[in-house]
Amino acid sequence: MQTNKSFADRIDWSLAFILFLFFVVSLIAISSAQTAGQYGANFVPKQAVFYIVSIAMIGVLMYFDPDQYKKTAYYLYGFGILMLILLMIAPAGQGQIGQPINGAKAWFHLPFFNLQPAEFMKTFYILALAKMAAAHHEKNLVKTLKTDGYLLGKIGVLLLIPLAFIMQQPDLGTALVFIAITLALIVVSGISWKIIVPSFGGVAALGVLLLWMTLNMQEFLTSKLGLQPYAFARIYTWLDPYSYADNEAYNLIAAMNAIGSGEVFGKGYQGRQVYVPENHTDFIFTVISEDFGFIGSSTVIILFFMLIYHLTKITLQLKDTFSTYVCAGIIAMITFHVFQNIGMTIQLLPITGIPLPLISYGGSSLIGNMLALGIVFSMKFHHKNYMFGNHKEDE
Amino acid sequence: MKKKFRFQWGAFLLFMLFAGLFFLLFARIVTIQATGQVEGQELAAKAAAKYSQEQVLKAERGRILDRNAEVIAEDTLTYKLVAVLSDSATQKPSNPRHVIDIEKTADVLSEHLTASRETILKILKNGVEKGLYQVEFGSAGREISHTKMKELEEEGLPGILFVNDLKRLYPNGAFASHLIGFAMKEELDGGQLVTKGKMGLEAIHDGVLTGKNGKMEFNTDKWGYLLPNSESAVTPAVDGSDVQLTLDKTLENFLEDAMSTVQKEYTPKRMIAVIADPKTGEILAMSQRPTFNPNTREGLSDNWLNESIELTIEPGSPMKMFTVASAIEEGKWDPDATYKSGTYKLGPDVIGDHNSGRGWGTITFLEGIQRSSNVSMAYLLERMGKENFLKYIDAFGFGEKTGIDLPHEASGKILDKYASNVLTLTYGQGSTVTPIQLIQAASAIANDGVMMKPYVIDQIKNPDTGEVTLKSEPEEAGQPISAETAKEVREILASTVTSEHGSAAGFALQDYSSAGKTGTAQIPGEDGRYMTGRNNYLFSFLGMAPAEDPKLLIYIGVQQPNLPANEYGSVPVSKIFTSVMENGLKHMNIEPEDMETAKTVELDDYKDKSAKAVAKELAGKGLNVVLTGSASKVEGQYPASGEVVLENETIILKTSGTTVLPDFTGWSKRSVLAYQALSGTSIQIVGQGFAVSQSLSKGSKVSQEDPVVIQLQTPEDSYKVRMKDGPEGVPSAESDTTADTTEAPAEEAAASAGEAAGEATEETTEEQESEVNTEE
Repeated sequence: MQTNKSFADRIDWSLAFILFLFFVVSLIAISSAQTAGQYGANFVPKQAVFYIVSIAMIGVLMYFDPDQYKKTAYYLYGFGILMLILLMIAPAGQGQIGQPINGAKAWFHLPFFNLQPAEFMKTFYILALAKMAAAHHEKNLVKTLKTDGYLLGKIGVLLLIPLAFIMQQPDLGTALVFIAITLALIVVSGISWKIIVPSFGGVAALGVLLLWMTLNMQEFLTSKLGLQPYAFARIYTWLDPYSYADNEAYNLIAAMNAIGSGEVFGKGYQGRQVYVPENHTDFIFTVISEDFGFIGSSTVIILFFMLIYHLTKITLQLKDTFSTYVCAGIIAMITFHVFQNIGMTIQLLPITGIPLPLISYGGSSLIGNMLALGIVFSMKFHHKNYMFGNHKEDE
Repeated sequence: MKKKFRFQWGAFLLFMLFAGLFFLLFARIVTIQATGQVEGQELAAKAAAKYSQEQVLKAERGRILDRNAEVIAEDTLTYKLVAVLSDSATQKPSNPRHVIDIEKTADVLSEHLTASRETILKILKNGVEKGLYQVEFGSAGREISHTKMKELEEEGLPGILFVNDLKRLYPNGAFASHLIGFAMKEELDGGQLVTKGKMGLEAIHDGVLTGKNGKMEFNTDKWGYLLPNSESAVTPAVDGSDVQLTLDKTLENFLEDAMSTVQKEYTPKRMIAVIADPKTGEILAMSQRPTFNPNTREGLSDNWLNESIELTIEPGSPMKMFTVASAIEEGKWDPDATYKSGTYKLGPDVIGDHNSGRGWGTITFLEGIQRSSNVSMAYLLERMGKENFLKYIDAFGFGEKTGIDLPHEASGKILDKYASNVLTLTYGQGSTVTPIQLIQAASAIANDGVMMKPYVIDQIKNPDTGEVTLKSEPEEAGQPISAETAKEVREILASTVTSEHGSAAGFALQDYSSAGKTGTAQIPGEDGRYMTGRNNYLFSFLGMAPAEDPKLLIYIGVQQPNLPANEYGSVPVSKIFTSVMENGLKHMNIEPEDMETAKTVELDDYKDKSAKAVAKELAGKGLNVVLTGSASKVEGQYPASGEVVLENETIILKTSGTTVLPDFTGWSKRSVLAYQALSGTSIQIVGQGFAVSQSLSKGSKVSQEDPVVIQLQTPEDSYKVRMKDGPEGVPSAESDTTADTTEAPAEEAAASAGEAAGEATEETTEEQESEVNTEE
């Protein structure tokens, strides 16, 4: 609006094209996953509808400029927390709105789809975090260790509220995404390395220590720290799946059998031989790998890399801190999702239940991610220095 | 500016971190997908293994059938017993699905299975100790019949399960075993059991017999529940093709029975018999001894040869029929011409007739062949010329494989290098042939000059698809002689059975005329020389019946039987021949020649009927009725219901009460035995053939303890023994030795043949004399 470029020129068509590719990949993968007709429903048209709905949503989001997001950030955050509270107290009986799925109370059962508040909360959290960090820097123009420490404290408070609700559902995967977002924002928010290195280092060391203790000091953990032995199972199956092949590691081994047996060219569309549970949602990557082989899996990873690269480029163009923080948070969110989701299928990370962004079937996940990308579209659309930007970026 | 720089540096780091994460993903996927391995685990193979989480739909192995689609070999359903030990199999304690009481289980199982209680208990205990989910009981727990399975199920033992299993069954037991062979379970590398043909037709046609297992693929979730809508993944099993043979089950059974009887009585070293339809070349029966039971493979020795086609023998005198046929075809046969029998000289070689070269003076050529004179053959060869004769030997197919549809056929070797080789060939010594070659060559004589190529497989057809992969048709193998010649040879051969001088007198059939040539061939011992001693011959018969229009052609060879002092080598051969031919021709509904007008009666089941009424009814039909007791109700009968009997035959009805002996005169041994069985009297049978006298006269009341002796005699025995006749074969020159060295063993063997002839006699009957009409 502030530029003399036409309306159409201000839309980021590169990003739109990348999203279109995701749309195609998603539909092919979901339909390839449904070989045995095992779900009694065809998810392909549903996913297409979700895509269309989210594109309309992006259009609406682009109408608002970044300032409006900045202004409403805390309200959205509060709305998200309210949703999580509602979910927590929702009746959880059979057929009721808060009925747990796979033991996690993370969804509202709505007439047309299941709504997962945490998926939206992630974007609201990014907005609130970005606003808070930007406001902090505006106020404290001179940085000291003290101001940085104060900022870190505020970030911690903002994180802990949603994290507590999500851990209680329980949904470890999403909780980890919140932590990843936070870490990325801490890095970009310019907090002194003198704080970052020791605190990150301390957390990392604690993590390694815990991991080591689960392997070597189970008795201490169970008796002194009150941890339940089953909590270790996830670690054991991750590190040594073939010893637990019949039970806990079933998913991991099935996933690796699927991916490995796809080899270079895959088994072809619906050529799947290995049955991996939940392969249209969290384990969609196994379908792509098995049916389309290394070619298919690399294509998907390259596609994500293009998305991240493109988002990073946008971030570097944006001049106001709030927008860059938001973009950085979104990049961190998507990257962590991808890394965690693909990583768990190939034994890089323990298995946690989070979907592959933009590809896995699921309305909440798709719309949640599109919400974040819609905000990026809006920032690009309303970018003030647009006309002075270099021409390589606007095709 | 400073602030902006710092930010971009952080962003760069963050971006590098993300790029690093993506690189990690890439690296991991490359190692998994490009190498296809995780921790040395072949993922593709594992995926396939997971995929084969499918139920195998077992294809049945094709059946082997006789010409009338009677089963010779088939897959039958049996059960395998499995005992589940793990308590995880039980979901509700009220309905246990695993073995609870090991002792009791062992008790009950040992009552039904072949394994002892201790063995079963040990297996169960062992399984429990090792924490096994289930145990099996080896061969004792396998091949359980349906009835036994039902019995065990009724015991209601918890944890005892039955798994379906297919077993190859040969319902006839020893039945052309070396031809049919056997198939047995074989464990593949993967531990999968498959039935594989190991021998005979089962092995030769293993490919077509083996079906294609189908499968039912099912995608299960982690708990093994079948996912919906996956029935499209059912691949039906394709059963193996049925191999239908030309064999006739009934004829084969007649042959096997006769062979077994002779085997038991004479324990010969080996026996071979082949029956063919001379009109088509179809093999109707094929047997040899020793044999084995394909179900248990009991009796299976190292000798896996189907000797009818794979063994070469010096045939001996049956060869003379081809010499005579050649001479007739060449116009060199004059039955009334005479020659001096005894010995024949060819250069330094001397051959003699089988009675130590004494001969029978100057006799006609017809009598020469009837007496199986070697010298007569020599003169016929002289008349024909060596080359001419060999031309016929070749035309009759000797020295070459017949091309029967079985592998490993031997060709035999016709020796024609020296004149002495050809000379001995005229009476079947020196050169070698296979039994199947004799059958093929004789088919020319039986089938009006047209030689028929033998075959055993009628067709191979898949019962599922209806696809016929093989269909055999009779095939001519040439026409070595004319129809007229063939007819004349049959007449001459019939005279060897019927004439007073006939060497084949014991081969006469009751109801049919027969034609053929006996043989008493010398067999080379281990040292290459012919063996001596009266048993050490291959006694054989190549014959056909009825003589006028042969329907069956048979070769029987009995090697080295243990003959009683008063019997000669042709007796065991004739026992097989007469019983098989007589029964076989009747089975084939060939009209008995001399009973064309005789009425036949089909018997009903007379059990529980009034003995008086039945006796009256049967007597009205012209049958002789004998009751074993005085009671009024019939309890049993001989022959069985459904049998067709001829007028004047004896029908025995079992009735209880006092036994009054009938007049046994003229009864066959079988009838006497049947009477013994039905009446329960202790009858002792002496001799062979038909009853001529009885120790207690007709009308005597006997109890079960009273011994009754019945004397049997063969019809031949009733006549004066006219001829002293012995083994006819005279040794030949060995193939590559010189004429000089052959003389000595030839004489020696001739002398030993003569010694045997002193004891051995072949008889003829006056009764049959009247039928001699070969000269016409």
